[in-house]
Order: sequence, then structure tokens, then C-alpha cells
Amino acid sequence: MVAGGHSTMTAQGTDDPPPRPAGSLTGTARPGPDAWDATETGTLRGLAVHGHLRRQFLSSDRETRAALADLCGQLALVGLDEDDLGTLELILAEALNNVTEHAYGPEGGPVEVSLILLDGAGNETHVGSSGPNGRVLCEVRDYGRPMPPGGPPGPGLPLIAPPDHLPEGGFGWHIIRCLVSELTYERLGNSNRLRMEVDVNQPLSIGSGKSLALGA
Amino acid sequence: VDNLKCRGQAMELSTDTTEAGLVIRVLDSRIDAASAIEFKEAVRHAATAPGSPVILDLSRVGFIDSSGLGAVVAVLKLLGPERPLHLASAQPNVAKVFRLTRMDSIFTIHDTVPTSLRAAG
Repeated sequence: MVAGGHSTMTAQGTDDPPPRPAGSLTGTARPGPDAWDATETGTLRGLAVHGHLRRQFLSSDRETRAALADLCGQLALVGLDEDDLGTLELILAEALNNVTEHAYGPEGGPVEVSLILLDGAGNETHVGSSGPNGRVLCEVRDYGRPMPPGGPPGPGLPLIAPPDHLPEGGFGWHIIRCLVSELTYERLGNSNRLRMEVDVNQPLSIGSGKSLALGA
Repeated sequence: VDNLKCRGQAMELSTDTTEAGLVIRVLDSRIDAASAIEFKEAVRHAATAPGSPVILDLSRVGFIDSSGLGAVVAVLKLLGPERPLHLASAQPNVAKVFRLTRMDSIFTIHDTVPTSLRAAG
């Protein structure tokens, strides 16, 4: 069991107003200063407010389950239906299980999951925007062993021919590839970065209840 | 009707020997990488109760991943050809995993738990 202190969730929904989140996230996903308005609700609603979120933990099956609960709780707040939520939980689970099992193995290691909401044109969403039929970008980063040359396995199922051929595994990447619209894998230095984009059925709701628009 | 509970480390089941077969209801909401082994062992134990086919009631399961799917296939194998494994009451996000992997083709899948031998056949 991993100590709780190793798990962090940036821009997570919490009743305690955290510090201004600008600069607390890495990469391109960074809110402008107006994204944070503690006075309106006194609550930082994470993904539904900023359009992105990052969750870090140490790899294990149990920590993956806890991270999925947090991430899907946040995704539920941006207006996704059960079908989209199920799809996102499934592809994240498969990617994270792969990290736990293959990138790290029993020794474990740090994992970062970023969720970024994209509008229909593939641009990052802003506070106050609610584009039709957006996308969710899921980025999984680890510092374990690289994937084999060529990256993640392509689509295709193991042979299913009962009674002699009843596979108990080898489904994960097939499931992911069936459900994503984009899949990219990169080895960056000593880390693996997997990016998965999922088209969602529902308009994404960012900064709901606010008319606040981010300055360009 | 025989009703007993098997409390594993991370997987709770209930069993009913009915006219339709042995109904094993999964009481946990997830069959995933964290619980796949416990699931397999708990079903193996629950299946010592009489009844055939074995009908896995998934009505309370909201999430299954490929590890969980593999565990369900493992149960199918360990029951053997004399005791077919049927699935019942899969929620949409669970049914989706069976459909995407075409494993829906190797299980008899019921919309609801069958109540008679004829319905289970």
C-alpha cells in the first residue's frame, strides 16, 4: 500500500481553496489567472473549472483504482454521459494497468495522468466555453521501461476458438484502439508518454455557471 | 433456495441454486486488475455449490477491465464443458468490454437472470 502522501491531485475539487493554480501545472495545460475565482463558490472544481487536471500516484493496482475514482469523479462534473465516462475509465484503466504491469513491474514507480478537455477543433478549452462534441485528451506518463520498438501493439485480438483457444489476456491495446480517435506514444528521455484522445457525445461544460472568459 | 455468502479479500459473492442453475451474483461493483485474482478464487469456491449452468449475475458490476474479463474467461475454463458459464444482467459499460473483444460470442448472455431451465437453456 502506498502512503497517501505520495498521491497528489492538482486542481482537484476540494473545499479548501488551494493556492492559485497558475504555474502549478506543467506542459501546455495551464490556466490563465482568471480561471480561478475562489470568491464565487469558494470551491475549486478542478477539471470542470479549468478544463484540465493532473493526478499523480505510485503504480499499483490499488492506487490505479483510487486514481480512476478521482479522475472519473472529476470527469462526471463536466457533463459527460455514462457511455463516455465508461469509455474514459476503461482506456485509462488499460493504460495504467499496462504501466503497472510492464513499465514498472513489482518495484513500482511514479505515474502521472493528465486530462485535458479539447473543443471540437482540438483546441484547449477555456473557462466559459462549451463547444459541441469535444474531445478529452488523456496523457499517461511514467518513468519505467520503454515500450517495445514500434510502440503499443496494433489492433487485433488473440485467437478466440473454443474450447482450445480461450485467451485470458491480450485484450488491452485492442480495447484502447477501438475507443480512441488518436493514440500516440513517445519515449521522452527516461519517460514514456502515452496520449489518447476520445471523442465524447456530449458538449463539455467548463466553468459552468460563469460567464467569465479567459483573456487571450 | 440455498443462499450463502463468500467473503474474499476483495470480492463478495452470493449464490443461489435455482431451477435455472447456480446463480452467482457479484456483489462488488468492479472486476478489475485489483480484484481479478480474488474474483476467480471466490467464484471457484462459490461454484462448489450444485447447479448447472452457472449463471454469473453481473447486475451490480459497473466496471470491468481486460484483467477482469480474463478472470471471467478463466472461470469459464475451470468450470469445464460439463458446466457452462452464462452471464446475466450486464450493465452497458460491462457489455461493451465483452462486445469489443468479441468475447460475447463465447458466452450465453442473458438480459436478466433466467428463472427457469428453459430460459437458461
